Amino acid sequence: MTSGTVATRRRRHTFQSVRWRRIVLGGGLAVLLLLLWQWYSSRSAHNIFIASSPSRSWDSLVALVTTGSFWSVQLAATAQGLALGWSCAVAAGLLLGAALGYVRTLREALEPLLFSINCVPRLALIPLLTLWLGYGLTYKAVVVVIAGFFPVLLNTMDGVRRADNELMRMSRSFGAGPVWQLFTVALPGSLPSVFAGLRQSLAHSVVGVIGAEIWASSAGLGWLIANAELQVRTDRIIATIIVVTVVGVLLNETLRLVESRCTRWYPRERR
Amino acid sequence: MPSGDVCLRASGVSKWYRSGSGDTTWALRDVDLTVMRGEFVSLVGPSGCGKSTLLNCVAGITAYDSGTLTLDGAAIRGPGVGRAVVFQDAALLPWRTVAANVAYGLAVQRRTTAAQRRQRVEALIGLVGLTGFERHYPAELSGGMRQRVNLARALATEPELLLMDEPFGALDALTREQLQLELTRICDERRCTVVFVTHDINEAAFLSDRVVVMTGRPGAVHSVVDVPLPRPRRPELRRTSAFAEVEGQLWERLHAQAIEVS
Amino acid sequence: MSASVVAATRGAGVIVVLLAGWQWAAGTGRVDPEFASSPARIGTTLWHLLSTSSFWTVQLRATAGGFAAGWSLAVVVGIVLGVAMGLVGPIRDTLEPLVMGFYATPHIALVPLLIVWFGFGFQYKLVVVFIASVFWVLLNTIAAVREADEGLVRMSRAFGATRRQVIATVVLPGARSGILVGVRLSVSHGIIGAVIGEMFSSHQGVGFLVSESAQLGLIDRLLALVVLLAAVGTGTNAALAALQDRLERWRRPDTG
Repeated sequence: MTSGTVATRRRRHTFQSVRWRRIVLGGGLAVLLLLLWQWYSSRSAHNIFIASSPSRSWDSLVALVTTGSFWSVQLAATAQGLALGWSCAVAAGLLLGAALGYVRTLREALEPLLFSINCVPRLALIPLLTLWLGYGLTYKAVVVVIAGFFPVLLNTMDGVRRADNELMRMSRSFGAGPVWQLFTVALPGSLPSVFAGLRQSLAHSVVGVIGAEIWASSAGLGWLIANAELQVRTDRIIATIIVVTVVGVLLNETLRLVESRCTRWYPRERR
Repeated sequence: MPSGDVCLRASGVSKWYRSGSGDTTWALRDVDLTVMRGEFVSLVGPSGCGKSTLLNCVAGITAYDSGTLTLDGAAIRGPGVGRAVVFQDAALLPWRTVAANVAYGLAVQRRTTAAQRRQRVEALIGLVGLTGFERHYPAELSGGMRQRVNLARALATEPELLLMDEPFGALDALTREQLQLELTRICDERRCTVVFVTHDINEAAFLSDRVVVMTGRPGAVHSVVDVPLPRPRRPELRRTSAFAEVEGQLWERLHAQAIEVS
Repeated sequence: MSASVVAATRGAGVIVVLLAGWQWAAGTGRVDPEFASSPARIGTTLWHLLSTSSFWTVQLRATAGGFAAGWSLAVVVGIVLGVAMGLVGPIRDTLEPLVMGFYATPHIALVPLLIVWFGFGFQYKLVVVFIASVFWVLLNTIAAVREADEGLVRMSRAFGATRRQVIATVVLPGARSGILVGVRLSVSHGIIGAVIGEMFSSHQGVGFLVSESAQLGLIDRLLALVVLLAAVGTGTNAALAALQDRLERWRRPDTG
């Protein structure tokens, strides 16, 4: 039961025309704002380094992306931390989530503990982790694990737990034991939830690694931002933010692509 | 058509629930029932009379508390062997194709090789009239088609006893009649032994050799009505006076048990 | 004993056992308490912290002030903009790309930029909290307004209601619950935003205390603050959820 029925009542717009409208109007607004910003920065006597401008940010971006060391050092550093941390978070989250979702006694025993830990604001632990782990790859990876573990755990747990009752009954009627049921019914059925958890987790992990780097690191996209902040070079900060955003979006879209490949069987209503 | 030896025997089968405050509710009480091989038996009765509970006990997915329940002489202690259930909910695994779904029961029971499975699946998909849909997903099928897959999956395991719990209840009238016809044809062809739960008198009369009228609170067998109508059952049969007579008898019994209970 | 009581004791038991184990390990020196702290030390530090008046009058006040300002602004903007975007297609089409663009940017990356632009003061904190909160309100509001119950809308129009009437009598009241959910979620995120913002740049506030504790190596105080934040977060969420339940007693639980 969706769709703005009130707002679009009289207009029979096709999907395509809405898309064009977005591009034109939305893009138009964005262009307008950029022009205003450019005008403001070129005109006033404000410190150019602080206010910056679209043109300077663009130059910075180009300079950044065309520097070899950006790719081999900075991006690599962030990517390493993210990859290491996220894969651990996902592996642990899936295993524990499946186990907790399926075995009731285990879930009841651990759920309160997990929920309590979940309430801790994870970014606030970054300073603590620097004290314990320094600011190398381990530290970065651990921050990512802390940031990305819970969405995977909770969503997987939820997905497995909500295994379709009718399907479980059908499976049992053929004599399937609990292990068979787990692998043929509960796990495949939990895929939508698992993917939702993976997407959330990825977003949190990106925030985690950047945050960790901004706080304390010697290389990486976050380090670039912190460094630019110290030098009061807003254009560089903006350029790096753009890179970070693009990376985040690309990762998300890749995940979505993988998801759509794995779930062609989704019932129509769900897609 | 019944062939003489006993397939299912229920004797004094009872099941009760104890509530938190200590009260006992009898879902089934002293149910006696015999089903011969090749017979098509329907269980009818008002809601809550225990017909589905009895079916679940025979299927082995619900435990019964006393009495004996045997399949070919062996006591029923759990699900799987020798029985297959067709529920009202088709319960097809949405991530598997039709062919893979039909193969599911066989795969669980692990008594066949992959090649055997493939053969059986193909034959059954043809039997239920779904040739050409092997690679479709459940989301792409209509309700009637899904129930056909459900039936095919159950028959694939070649059960001694086919159990059906209001399988056509969720379908529209037209599809329902179509599937009833198909079912009776398939059962005649394969000489299935069937226990069929329904609340639809017309359906019960059309499909069965015998109809067991059950009564509720506690669930028990009220009476049994023979349906000596000729096989194969054709649609025109529904308009004959012999059919009307059977239906009338069933209604009478149902009313009787309703009065006795109240 | 009922099943839920058993479950609860089991769950609580696990927590108690873990805490006891930690305490024991720290107490007997198996784990260096200077490094890993212990429940007892955290407890005492927390107590000490909460009983210092300056904590309340200076630090907490600074955080609370920043939060209150940023959050209320976020709620107002979020609801107004959300309703507008939810109801009026062209507005939505114009603004949504920009909103989604900002949403896609990891907010933590914006903090250094904000520090440069706004300095260390109140303004900075306000903006940080605003950014942390607004999307929760905005996106939930848009969704709530757009997902008006089709059956009710149709019924209303069948009675001849004008578009304005439909909006006023069906869409907006129906959206209230979704909007409240967004507002509720924005609170805990806003609080965390305030603290994180302070952590990166401030000389006052709970977040500053966190950062200072890290720089001075005061692990006990760090953990005490973390525990405090967790408690505040859960507490506010639970309280608001209860409040929402009371306000919406007409809403029967969904049974199917």
